Amino acid sequence: MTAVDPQPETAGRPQPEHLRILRLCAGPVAVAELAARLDLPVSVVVIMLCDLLEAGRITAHPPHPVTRTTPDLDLLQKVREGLGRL
Amino acid sequence: MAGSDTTAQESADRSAPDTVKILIAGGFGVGKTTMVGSVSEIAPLRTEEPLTLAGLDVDDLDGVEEKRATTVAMDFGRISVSDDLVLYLFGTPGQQRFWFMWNDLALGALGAVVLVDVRRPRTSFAAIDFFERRNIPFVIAVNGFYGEHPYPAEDIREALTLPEGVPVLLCDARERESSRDVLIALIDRLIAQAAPAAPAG
Repeated sequence: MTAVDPQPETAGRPQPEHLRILRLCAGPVAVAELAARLDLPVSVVVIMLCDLLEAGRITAHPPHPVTRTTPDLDLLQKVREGLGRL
Repeated sequence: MAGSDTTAQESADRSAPDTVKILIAGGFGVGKTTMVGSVSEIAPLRTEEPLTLAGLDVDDLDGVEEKRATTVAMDFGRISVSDDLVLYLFGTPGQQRFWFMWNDLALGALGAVVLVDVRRPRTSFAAIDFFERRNIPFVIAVNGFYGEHPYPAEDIREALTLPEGVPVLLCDARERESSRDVLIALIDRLIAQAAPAAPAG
């Protein structure tokens, strides 16, 4: 999830929770991470995110698609190298 | 996403890093939280999900009148692999009755680490079974409590009746490097599976 910058002028006044989400997702952040930081259940956060998405205040990026049949070797190598640097 | 502005979506996609996830599974109290915490670059996060007890017989509430819902906790960690790739770690709920949640978590996961406590290996049987059935690649990480490993990896492999090729690693979930090595072993297995025809030597 990433907040849209600048925020659309047409959007109405957001709820305090919505504002907290917008602050937290100034950079891309996972839904589970948002839920943990807000101390709210994932299911509740998802509903609020849908509101924000509909209002055009955030964008959603699906995770990297993983298929069992054709594994992405480049991706795996990248993860492997990154972990090796830890 | 339907209805979203295409140009905004495209520019955001360029700046947003790619994400992949790995599950950390195992029985209750086996060290999943510890492992997620030791390798995550952020303080390990925990989300709690309220669940209604759908299976509760509404006509038979004697003694459990107040118990209408329960919570299930999930650990969450993050490793920035590179500027444009982020690895998320999900510690799955340990209690067996919450396993239906695993199906959602397993969706799109690269693979899994099944933690095993040598003192109570049985508690991880169900996790092994889960990933085996769904054909999700996994490695076994034996968490040596107090850093001790009383049994060699081969004995543990036998005790768990593991399928061929599943790596068994001895680790200390408290140690960052040890936990990292477990993740690397999982990725190595995935790479080996992806390129089975690679010539030996």
